[in-house]
Amino acid sequence: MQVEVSSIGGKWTILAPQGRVDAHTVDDFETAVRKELAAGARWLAMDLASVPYMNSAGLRVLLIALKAVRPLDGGVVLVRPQPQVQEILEISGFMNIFSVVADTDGLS
Amino acid sequence: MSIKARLLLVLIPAILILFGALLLLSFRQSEHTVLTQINRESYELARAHAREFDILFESSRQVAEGIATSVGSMETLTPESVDLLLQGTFSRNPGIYGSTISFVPDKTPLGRYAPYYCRAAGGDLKFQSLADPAYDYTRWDWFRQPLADGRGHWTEPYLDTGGGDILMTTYAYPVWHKGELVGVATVDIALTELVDRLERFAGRRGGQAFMVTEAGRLIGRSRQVSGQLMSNESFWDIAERSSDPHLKELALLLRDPEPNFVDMTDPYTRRPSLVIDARIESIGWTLAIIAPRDVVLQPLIQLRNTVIPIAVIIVGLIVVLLLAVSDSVTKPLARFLGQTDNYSRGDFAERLAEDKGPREIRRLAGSFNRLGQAILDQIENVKTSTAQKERYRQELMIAADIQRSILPRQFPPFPELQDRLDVYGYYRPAREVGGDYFDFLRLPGGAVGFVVADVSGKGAPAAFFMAMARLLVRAMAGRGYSPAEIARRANHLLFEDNEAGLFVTLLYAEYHPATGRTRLVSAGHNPPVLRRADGRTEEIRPNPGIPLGVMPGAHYEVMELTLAPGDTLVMYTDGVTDIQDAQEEDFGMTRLCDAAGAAPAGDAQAMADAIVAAVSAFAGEQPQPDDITLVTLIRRGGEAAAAGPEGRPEEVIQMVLPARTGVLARVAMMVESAAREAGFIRSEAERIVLAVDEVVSNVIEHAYGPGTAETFELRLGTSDDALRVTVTDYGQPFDFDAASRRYDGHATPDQPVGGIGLFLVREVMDEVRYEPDTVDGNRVTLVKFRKIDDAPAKDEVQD
Repeated sequence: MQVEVSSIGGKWTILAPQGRVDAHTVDDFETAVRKELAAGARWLAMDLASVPYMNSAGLRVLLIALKAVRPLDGGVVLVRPQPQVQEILEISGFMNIFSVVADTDGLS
Repeated sequence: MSIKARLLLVLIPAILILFGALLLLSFRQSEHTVLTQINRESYELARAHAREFDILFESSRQVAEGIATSVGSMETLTPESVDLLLQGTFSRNPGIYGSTISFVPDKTPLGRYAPYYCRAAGGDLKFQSLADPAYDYTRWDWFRQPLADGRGHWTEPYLDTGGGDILMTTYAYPVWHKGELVGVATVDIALTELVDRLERFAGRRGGQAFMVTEAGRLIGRSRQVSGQLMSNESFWDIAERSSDPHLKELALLLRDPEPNFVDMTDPYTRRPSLVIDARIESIGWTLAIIAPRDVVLQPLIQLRNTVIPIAVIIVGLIVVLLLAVSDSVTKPLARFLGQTDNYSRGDFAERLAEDKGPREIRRLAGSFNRLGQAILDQIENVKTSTAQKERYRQELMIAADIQRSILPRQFPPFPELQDRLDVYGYYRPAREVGGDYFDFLRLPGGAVGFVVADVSGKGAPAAFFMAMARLLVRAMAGRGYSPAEIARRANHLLFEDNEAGLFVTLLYAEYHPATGRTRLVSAGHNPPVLRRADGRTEEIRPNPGIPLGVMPGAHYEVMELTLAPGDTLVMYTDGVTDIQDAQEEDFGMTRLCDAAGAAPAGDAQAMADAIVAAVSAFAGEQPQPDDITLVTLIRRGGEAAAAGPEGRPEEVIQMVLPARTGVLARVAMMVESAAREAGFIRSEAERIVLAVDEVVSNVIEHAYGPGTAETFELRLGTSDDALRVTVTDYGQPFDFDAASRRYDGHATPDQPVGGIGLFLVREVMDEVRYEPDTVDGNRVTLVKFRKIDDAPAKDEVQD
């Protein structure tokens, strides 16, 4: 699975997985996230517009990212999750710890 | 009284009587023999003596007559010739004591002439003239009598005072000469010597001898008072005067001319005596011998004195022997007594010696010993059987526990289906543990299953068999098999492991709550009763198959019917229909149908209770021979059966997939497809996909470890109202419950990263079960029920 990485205003690093995030693909996602964290990224925006499906494996990567940036006063936002992902976020209670935004434009 | 005393008391008198009788008889016999002998002998002796005397007397008479004849034949009578005659006579007849020829003084030229010759002491002849004036022979009877009557006469014995004290008797005979009585010739016989001889003879035999003259004078010393040889008085006169019967008897005896042998009392000595007499014919006397009895029978008494001590000794010996024999009987009895004491104390191991005593005692001892052994064996048997009963009782308790754990206890069993059905199960065992059971199961696809079964046999084996049958039916039903397939597979498996030869009749009903559709299969079980809502009843007769466990490869047929709302299906075991009343009539199907028809409708328990009440009333006090099991199923709610679509059986997709993450997308597609097929709306379907994905991912990542070429099994069962997903892997089991608890849905930034997947699964699915099993595979079962009122069409529009 491919993960597109970009940045906005030098602060936000945007990671956009392209496709299902499940046990089969999650390694690619995790690798990309760890790579950005290692490069010093503290503000991560997960663009989920191209993710039709995500399971707990994807949630785990999101949690890893959050745990990594919080001590650095950083943050993780989820951008444009599709309905299935939105639902899993709700069911799992992750909506309580992640903020969701409609697009990357509002990020500063 | 002891045996010994009794033996002695009976036997000793008997022996004494016997011996006494024997002795008495032998004494009598020998006495008789002795007496007979004495009789014969004494008689002969007495006769011999009598005859001897007789001969003496007779010859003396003849001598006297010969003298007289000689004198008569003389031409002239001269003193010389007479003396010569007398002298010659003497020399020729030694038995003669004395003799004379005395002449009548004036008849012959001899004048007064009476020469007398007798034997002097030493045997010399002595002459005496009887013409001595002092004697004057002409005055004496012996001279006068023959002259008077011209015949010969014997004189009474007399004591010869002239020639010495000799008792004698004289025969006097008249002498004729030339036609004239001229004198008398006499011969004297000395009796003293005869009597002496006789008395000596009798004395040697302990008796006394005497003679009695014709006139009754007794000759013999023993009979005289003063030692005289002859009595003066006649014995006849004495006896006549006497009042002594013995004296009279003796006189009578002696006067009897016949010879006698008489046992009588001697009138003189007063002793019991034997009297023998014999007549001396020539002189008319009687010769008698009297002997005391005891003297005569002396040998007999000696015999008695010898025999009686011997008899006493013999009797004594017999008594001693008897004592010994009775001891030999009573001593073992004492041993037996001791043995019975042992037995009564409970000591049955003691043994008597079987080689002592007589054969009967040995056999009795053997019998005693066998008795003891038999009692010991019996005690052992009782112990064993008691232990067996105890084991059996415990077995029954275990079996009862198993059965209690088997039977459903919670009513209603399916609370979420309360508006769809009402079911109740009743069970009453005949004894401690019966062979019946019933079961309620939730089936894949939303249907429910009901089982009523009757296992052959009782006790623990039957209970285990029942538990096995129940588990098999549950397992098969849980896998979504059709009722016929459940029966077929359960039968096969039960048959394979059925050494006890048990079997079970079983009725299985698969009921679809939404539609009332019911599929029945019978394995040799009683046909259920359908009670319609209006009270009509009918027997439902599925093709009766073979009881489970009997025959491999048996096939079973399904019968379908539909319960209308308010209809009741009554399932039962033969304990209901076979129970009998006092007249031994079965309760039967007809009464069951009647009871079901009369029972109140609408409540499963009330209906079951009513039927049970009818059964109990019918049986009365009769014992319940078999378990009674009753399951009542009532369809509730919904429209009439005709209104709803016929339910369909679960459709199953089953596949084996490699345990690689690459299959996840395919799995998701298939699950979604199946969920939609089952009537779930898309969002529901997606959630189900998520749950299955989480489970499968977990299996792939954790069961085998990375990079393995293992597989897992995915089974998707779709039915009218549910989707049932089973994921089976053959790897390591894991602690499903612990993993499920790691996340509780309250997310925090600091939480651990695991456990979220299983949380999601639980959130999404209605049922989640994990069954670890390293042989048949660890199985995760996920069930999602479709909400009945969800209208699929509405959701389709949204798409």
